[in-house]
Amino acid sequence: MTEQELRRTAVIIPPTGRAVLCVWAAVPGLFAAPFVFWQSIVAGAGFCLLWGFLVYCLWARACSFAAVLGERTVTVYSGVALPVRQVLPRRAVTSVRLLRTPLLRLGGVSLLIVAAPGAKLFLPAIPAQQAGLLAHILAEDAP
Amino acid sequence: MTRQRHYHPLAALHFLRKAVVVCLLPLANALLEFSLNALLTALRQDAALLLFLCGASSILLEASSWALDEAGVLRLRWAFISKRERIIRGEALAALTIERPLFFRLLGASRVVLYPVGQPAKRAVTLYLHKEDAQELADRLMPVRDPVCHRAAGGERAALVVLGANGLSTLALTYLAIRQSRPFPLTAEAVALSRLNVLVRFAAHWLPAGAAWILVLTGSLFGISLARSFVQTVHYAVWHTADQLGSRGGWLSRFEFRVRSSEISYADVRVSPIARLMKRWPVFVVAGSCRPELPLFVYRSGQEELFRELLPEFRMPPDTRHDLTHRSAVFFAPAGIPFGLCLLLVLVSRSVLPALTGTLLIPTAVFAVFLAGGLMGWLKEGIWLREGRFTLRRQKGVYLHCICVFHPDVCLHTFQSPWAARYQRMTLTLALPGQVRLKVRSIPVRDAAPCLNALEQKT
Repeated sequence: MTEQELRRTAVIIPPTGRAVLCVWAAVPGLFAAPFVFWQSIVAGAGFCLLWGFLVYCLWARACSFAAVLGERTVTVYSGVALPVRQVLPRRAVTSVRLLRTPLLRLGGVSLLIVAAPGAKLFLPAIPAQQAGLLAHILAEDAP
Repeated sequence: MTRQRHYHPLAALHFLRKAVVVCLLPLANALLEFSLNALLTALRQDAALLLFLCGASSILLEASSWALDEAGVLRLRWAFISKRERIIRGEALAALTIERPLFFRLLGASRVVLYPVGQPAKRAVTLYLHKEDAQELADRLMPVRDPVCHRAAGGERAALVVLGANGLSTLALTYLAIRQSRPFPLTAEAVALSRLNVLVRFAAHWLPAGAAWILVLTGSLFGISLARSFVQTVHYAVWHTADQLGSRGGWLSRFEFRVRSSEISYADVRVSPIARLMKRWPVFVVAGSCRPELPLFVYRSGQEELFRELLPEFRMPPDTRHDLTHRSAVFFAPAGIPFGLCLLLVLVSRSVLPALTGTLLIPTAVFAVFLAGGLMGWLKEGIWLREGRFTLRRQKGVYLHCICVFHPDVCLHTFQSPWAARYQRMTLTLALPGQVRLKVRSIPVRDAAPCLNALEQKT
């Protein structure tokens, strides 16, 4: 894949990436659930429902995630009910970090963190090949 | 490379000031036991703690040092148990400030704060140095070459006029408060009334006096703030060089501010009620995370030559309004809710406790002023592109900030609530180096679009 090809398409979170994100989000809930069930069954059930809803919200947000590489900017769109758009000039990028945990590797995805003096962009669980290329392009732009 | 130099002993005092809180712990224990023996034990423990802290401070002073080499590179060293060195290049600084409060001047010390380019405020470097060292450091890191200086004319006189007006009004309020504070006639006749009635009368008598004293206190605090501003405007000078802007001044407390022109994030003309009254507009300059509390300069309406000379690229936001249809009421919420509550209490008090009405009118009036500030924001807040630069107006309290962004590396962040999405509005946040954020609320999407597109088109 080249930069031109990457610029013609939007980078989205694939189903495996969304699954990884949901697993990450579910872990604290699974850890805390036994302690809540210890208080009462009703509280435990309520907690599980609430946590499940939060994980669902994360999944829905991950579905709406899209990162677009422009000629001079990187733009990230996310959210449907509460839409957020972040625009970061490519020339302002100061560092790029690529993270791959065993779970991310299993899903064939990577976490990309793009930093500029004023802001940070988190591109969670995007396809590893696109993440690598994006990191390479942005690192070349960095001063 | 120049020799290693140590910090001023005030650096240790700065450490001690934070650590001395630990000394209160034994005293708290003595207070709980409330006996002479416990007090003596606590004092002994405090003496031991102080001795330990003094030892730690002396180690801190000895272990830390700084050096400045010929190339203008500052090296901050720490050598106790482990060795650490932080290197700061002069070119990598966005701004620096030198502060000399009265206490520092008596001890011959200066506080120098260095703001590296793009770093947040917590990464700024604060150094306590000898006066000469501080000046040398500033001149080597950010040298001032061929400066063009301007002395503020009339600023001191204007500050004195406001200070005098405040002094007179505070005196008048004090007189009123003393008159209100007549002793409560707790006579046998009054006591003969029911207990509750006495309490109500007591409150009805003292609350207006309390309100008057609150006003006196507010006036006095405002006066102190004005006096502080006045002593800071004495000997005030602003200068510019080919690559730098700066200002220095102060009478009892002195300060100096130097900023690299290329690193200025934005300039802000702050419009306050007093500024409107005096037709003088303070201009603040922000570079990296350096946000000085003093303006770089103040200009008068119709006399913008100094402004054009110092900041030739500044563009004022246009005097047009965004579409106000379905604009969010978020501007009114912070002052509107307490204003509504106070107004309700005023109405209730008129029938229940009329003596309290006057007291309650004070916070109501204060919140009404802030509500007027909110209305100003609702009417005027917005963002516009002027000659390729972001210009924006934003309201904060009773201030209206007219901002022109200079830095090319601006990140944008937009947010829409479901209600905003319905009416095609959004909140736009500009993220600037040093993690400085400027938020413009509830603007039409079609007005924000040119700003978003401008980043993609900017060269």
